[in-house]
Amino acid sequence: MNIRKIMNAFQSKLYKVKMVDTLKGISWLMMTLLACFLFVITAEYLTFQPDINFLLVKQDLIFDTVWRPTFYLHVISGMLVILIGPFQFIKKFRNKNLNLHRLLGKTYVYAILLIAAPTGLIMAFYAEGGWWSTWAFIIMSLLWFYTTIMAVVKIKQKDIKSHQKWMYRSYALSFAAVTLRLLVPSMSYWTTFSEEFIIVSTAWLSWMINLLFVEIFIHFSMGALKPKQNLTLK
Amino acid sequence: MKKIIAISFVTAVLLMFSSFYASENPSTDESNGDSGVVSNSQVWEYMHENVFTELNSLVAYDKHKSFSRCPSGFSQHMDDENSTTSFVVGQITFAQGCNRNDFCHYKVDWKNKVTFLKKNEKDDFVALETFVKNEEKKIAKI
Repeated sequence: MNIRKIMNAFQSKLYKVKMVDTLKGISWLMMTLLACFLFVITAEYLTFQPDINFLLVKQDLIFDTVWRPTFYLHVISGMLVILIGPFQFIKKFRNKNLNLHRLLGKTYVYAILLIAAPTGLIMAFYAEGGWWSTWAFIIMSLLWFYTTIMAVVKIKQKDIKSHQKWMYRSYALSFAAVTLRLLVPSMSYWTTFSEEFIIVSTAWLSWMINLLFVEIFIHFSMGALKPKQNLTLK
Repeated sequence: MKKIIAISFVTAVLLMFSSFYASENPSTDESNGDSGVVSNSQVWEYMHENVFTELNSLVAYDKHKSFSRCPSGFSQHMDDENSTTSFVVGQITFAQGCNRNDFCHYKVDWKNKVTFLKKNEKDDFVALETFVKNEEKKIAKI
């Protein structure tokens, strides 16, 4: 009787772990596809044409000596960051190619700390939607910088688990670029909100939803369901 | 650390909701200048519910371009100076991502809630249904 109970508990635990792993796999695949899609769309800016996509609403700034280089630096570093991120989260890839993981990680971190976050902060002051959008992007840029630098601090302290958590948070903020582009059309199709409201609300929601999602993910994936591990760096 | 994150998050949520309130109730809300009866947001709501849905049959949405920072679809810009409490006039635009173009001009009999549209400045206003039929014929010819 006791053995059966233990077996049932074990099977239930195994089922839960399998389900979590499957969900994680599906989420990763979706996230990677969307990241690649954003990369492809953003690559259009590398033609440096002044009249494409987002630049169409920034015609007054397109030849501005501050805004233009900031925009292109933000785009290029952002493209690098959005593409590198998903591959850093694959456990097998990470364990087999630790040196490559470190190299890509350094690229990701430098791209955010030196280029993407500071340029994001500058661009926040030119955001569509006025000061409320500006505040959303200022907070986001600061959090992006903070979460990324915390991930660096934690790995320097050889605290892998915390490093992973901060990296998840950092990439959640990087992924806000995708969420923003999913929220805007969704809200304009399915709601009657005004254009201005959509622009302002998505500036906030794009990163807040991601951060909330990642905190839930961290709680269930690295907290409750997983056995406690003492990870150390060799 | 967790407390700081939690407080930051709550602050951000509060800021977010106040921004929603501010963008829904702008202090410079456009009105027609007479008694401020017809506001821009009222016209927007009317247009969204009664006109844009009809005009959707005249356009094809490019999903690829909609994956953008800019809202796609129809929008309206009320002409404050020429609008009165009886008639509201303005322009309708259509956007695919950040590419926004003029679509047509509108005139709304606000009391009876009847919409008239015209494609160009020199054309005469026609009823919404007639406008849609005429434009559909043009599309069919192409």
